[in-house]
Amino acid sequence: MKNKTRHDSPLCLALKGLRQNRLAMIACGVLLMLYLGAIFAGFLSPYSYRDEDRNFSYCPPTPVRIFDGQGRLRWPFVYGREMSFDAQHKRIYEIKEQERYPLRLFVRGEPYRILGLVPCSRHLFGVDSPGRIYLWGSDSRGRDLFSRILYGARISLSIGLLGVMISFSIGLLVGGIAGFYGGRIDNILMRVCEMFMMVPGFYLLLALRSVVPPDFNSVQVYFSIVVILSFIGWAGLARIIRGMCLSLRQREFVLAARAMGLSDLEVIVKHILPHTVSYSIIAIMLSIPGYILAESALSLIGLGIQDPFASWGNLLSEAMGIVQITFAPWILLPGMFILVTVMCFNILGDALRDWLDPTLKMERQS
Amino acid sequence: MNMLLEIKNLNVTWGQGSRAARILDDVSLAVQEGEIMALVGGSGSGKTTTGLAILRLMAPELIMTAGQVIFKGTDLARIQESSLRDIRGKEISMVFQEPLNAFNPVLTVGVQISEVLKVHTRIPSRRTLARVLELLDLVGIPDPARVAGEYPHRLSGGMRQRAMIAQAIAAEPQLVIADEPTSNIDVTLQARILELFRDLRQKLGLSILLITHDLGVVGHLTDRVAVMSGGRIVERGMTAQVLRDPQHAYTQKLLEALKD
Repeated sequence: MKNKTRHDSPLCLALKGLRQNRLAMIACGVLLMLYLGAIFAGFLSPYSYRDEDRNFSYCPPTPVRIFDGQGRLRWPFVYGREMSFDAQHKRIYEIKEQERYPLRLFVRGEPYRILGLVPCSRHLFGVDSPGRIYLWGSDSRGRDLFSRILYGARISLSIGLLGVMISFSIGLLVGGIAGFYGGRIDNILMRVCEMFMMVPGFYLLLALRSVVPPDFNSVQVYFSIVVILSFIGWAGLARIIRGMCLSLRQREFVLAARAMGLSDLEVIVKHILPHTVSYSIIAIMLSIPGYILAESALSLIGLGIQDPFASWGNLLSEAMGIVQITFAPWILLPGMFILVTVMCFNILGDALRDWLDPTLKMERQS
Repeated sequence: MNMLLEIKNLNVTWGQGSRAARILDDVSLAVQEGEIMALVGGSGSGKTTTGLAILRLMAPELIMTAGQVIFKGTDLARIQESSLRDIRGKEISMVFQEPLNAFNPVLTVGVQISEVLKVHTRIPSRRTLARVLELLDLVGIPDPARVAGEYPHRLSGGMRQRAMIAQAIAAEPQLVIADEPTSNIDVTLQARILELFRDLRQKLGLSILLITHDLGVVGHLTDRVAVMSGGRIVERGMTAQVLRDPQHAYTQKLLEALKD
């Protein structure tokens, strides 16, 4: 077994594969943008997530213009608007051409903290009040959907990562222990896993959510949702990791590690689990969308993140009536974000599988 | 000379009850301080099992039904698993037949050697690397810095075995159990690995239990020899004498095979 090629770590392999797969590159770029958007939501959004103006309920997106009424080129601006109701009690927004609000960069606005640390009150763009800029329209209370989607991304995108982190730690450890010891321990742990897998996920989700006290504040709700989601997710992984460990523990390096005086836990964590890295990376990528969707589903039916806090799921819950969708179709936008994010993670996961899974590689070469 | 390790009437079976198969049958063995003791036997004779039984590392299906493994006054067959861990690698370490399998393929050689240091010594972590390089140098690896950063499969067989030995002596154990350390290495390198063992014995005052099927190796290196067959020790004595005048039929056959 002479190796001519350099030994590559899974990470190197993944990056190399990524460069050759354009679709995965795009997915990666989109995700990067979304995460950056979520991290710098405070700066990028013109308003805070709870800044409302009842005079602009369901205001349609305000286009940023560069030509005024006379066709003259101007610094980008938005027109003022006025809401009224027509005979059918339908909202109509009239553009007031005489009111022009030029777009201002780095304006002072509501204070926020960069990365949760540095206090700051500059926003990337905004207009002078009483004008309001709604790039993607507003919701029933006149809150800016663009800002709320950015703030919502914080919750929706982080819940996937955090949930995966917790459930994978549990799954790897339980699977590792079950596979390493085998016998009775294995039997008990696997039966527990199966009990979790037996109950349909969404009902388990609802049941667990109902256990959480209703008077939790938003942070507590957020973390309880993360915990609930990871509580459901670990079982499937544990079973697969257990299968891998069952064969790995027969290998001589496990014996050698024990002969060095390592404890069982050290052997599992340092010597056995690293062998499951390729699989785990793929599984992580492919299971993040599940967490994002589950959080969205919970929030959509009102059991997740509570108003005024935004997540993509509870933003969508505004779009549950046919009237709202007909008259204010822009409130479906958060759904697009969920769709795109989930798609990107899936594409990335598939690409990673192509590049990390040795069995697939064998097929490709033959 | 003091007795370092004494195995007394070791019995190991595969399975329990009436259908149990005997793997080791009343094996008794002693290793004295500073000596190289050979345990010779054909495949399936139980010599590897004996080596593993000393540190209670046998496969879980194998059961030690009777016997003592006395190491410096304590019976390793009776003590707690946690106190046994302090002996594994620290007082008694093992060198395996095929270092390609015995090293973890996803960790670099340096990391795996430093692991022993972390578990068993109080060397501060910033000094660990230096100590690893020192050890690799001690076992005659020419470019320690490079080798420490390599994955096991990137090294040649001889290098791997040297690295394995470096790992085994990292925590300065008193006894090294070497299970067929040279059988997967070509003949020219074999002699140098054996020389290395002899060197290390002198430098570090090691005792070595050499498990092998090769009587040729035994003649060169060892002080005393025990011959195993079918789970029993059939002959034992000073190496020179056993080789010159074998008593048991099995030993005679082994010697004849060597002459051919």
